[in-house]
Order: sequence, then C-alpha cells, then structure tokens
Amino acid sequence: MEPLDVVASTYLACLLDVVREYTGATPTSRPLSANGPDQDTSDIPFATLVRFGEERVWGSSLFVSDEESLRTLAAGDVDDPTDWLGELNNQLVGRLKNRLLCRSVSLHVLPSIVVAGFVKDRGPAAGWVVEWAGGRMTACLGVTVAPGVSLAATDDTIEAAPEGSLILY
Amino acid sequence: MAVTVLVVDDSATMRQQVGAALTTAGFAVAEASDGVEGKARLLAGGVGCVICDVNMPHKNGIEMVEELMAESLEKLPPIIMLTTEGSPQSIRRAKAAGASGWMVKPFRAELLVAAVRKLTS
Repeated sequence: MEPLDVVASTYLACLLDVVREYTGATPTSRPLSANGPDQDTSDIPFATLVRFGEERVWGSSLFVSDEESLRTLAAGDVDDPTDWLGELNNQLVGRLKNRLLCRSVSLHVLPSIVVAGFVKDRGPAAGWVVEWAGGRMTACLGVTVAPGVSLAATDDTIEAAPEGSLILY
Repeated sequence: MAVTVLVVDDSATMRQQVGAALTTAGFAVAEASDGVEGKARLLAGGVGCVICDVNMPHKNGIEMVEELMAESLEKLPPIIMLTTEGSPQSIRRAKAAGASGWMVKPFRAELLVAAVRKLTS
C-alpha cells in the first residue's frame, strides 16, 4: 500500500471508530465529491482543524458538521458545538497517532482551532462524508509523506494504551 | 467536606462531562482551560486531585506536571492524565514527571470516579 493510502485508510478507520463510540451505531461513509462541498451550507456548519506532524509525515484534519448532528454525537450536554467538534477532531487525530506508532511515526498534535464556515477549496486532501442515524459529518485529511518514506510496519510490539483504558502508576 | 477535583482541559465540553461525572459521585469540581491556568489554580491550594488533559494550548499537561514537581515545596495532590494519546513514551514521561495515572479518552465515568476515590481515600 502506498504511504498516503496507509495514512488515509487509518484515518478513515479512526473516524468511523469515533462516530461509532459516541453514537453507538455503525456509521456509513463515502468519499467526498471532488467537485466541492456536498454538505448543505445553508445552516452555516461548524468547522475545526487539527494539525499534526513529525519530520516525515505531516498534515491536518478538518471536521465540518452542524449543530443538530453534533448533539447526537455527544455523550452528554453540549453547550458549545464548535468546542465539541474540536474535541472530536482531537480524539480522532490522537487515535491516528496511536495507530501509526507501529510504523515508527510519532506525530505531534496541535490543539484544535476553529475555522470559519465550510472551506470550499480543500487543496490536496482526501475527504469523506460520514452519516449515522440523526446526523452527518464531513472529514478531510490533508497529508504529506516525505519522499522515500514507506510507512511499513516496523515494530508490532509498540502498542498504544487502548481507548478508554486506565493505568494507575 | 467534599474533596475538590481540578479538571484541566481546553475543551469546555470535556470539562463539563468530566465535572458532571465527578459531581454526581459527590466531589466538588474546579476547572482550568490550560496548563498555565491549571498550575495557578493548583498552587492556590484546596485541590485534592487533578484530572489533566495533555494536548492543550499555552502549556501542555505533562509540562504542567513537570513544572509543578520541580517548583513545588509541598506535596502535590495525585494527578491523572486524561488524553487521546496512548503512546508508551508519553505514558512513561508522565510517570517520570510525577503523575499518578493515565487514562485514554473517551473516558469511562465509572472508571475515572473509582480511580479518583482510590487516590483520594
């Protein structure tokens, strides 16, 4: 598998896991149209961006959704949908980081930022629309892998602590 | 008197959700939105336990713990890191800094409350 495909397929798996975690249902996904946003922008969607990187792999994750969808994605009350969208984006990139450890990639993740409205020009990004009962979200991954980097699994013994786990020292 | 748990996270929603779980369990809750605020609140006293995110603006959670341990003259309360990250390197760094535990988001309320009870009893 090409390095970019490795990151993209891992990202999509993480995205579906995050939605499944908070909705309790299995979401569906489809690639985003190459012709621009295919989410209705009339309700002014919320958008957040999380940047990540290390020397050989760097990029960003863009989440776009609407208030009603975000409320179905929350385990509790959500006073600020944008804040929650940023946290979900952060949780997705955290999972991506954890799953790339075995490929000798250790990403640094920056705090999420809010971006205004829908970004019409996504640039060189892969994107997916994820839908579940009661909501939908668009996620775009922009990623660059340095030339010559294979991203083959190098160490299966490097295992991140699983989501939801607790370690007391 | 209820033990006060300081929740440090840049996401207001996470602070709200963690705070609700702790309040329901009988704890008092204080909040801070990054490592700078968290450190100041902790040094002001009266905190019995800390739940702290790692990836935050201004000062991240592990840096906050490292600074507190280096600068504090008094014993600090137990600190549990609550983060999306699960890398062994980060977990070891937090332990070396003086944290008491590491929990990977999404958090399980019953697990978190049980850990706080154990560490504050």
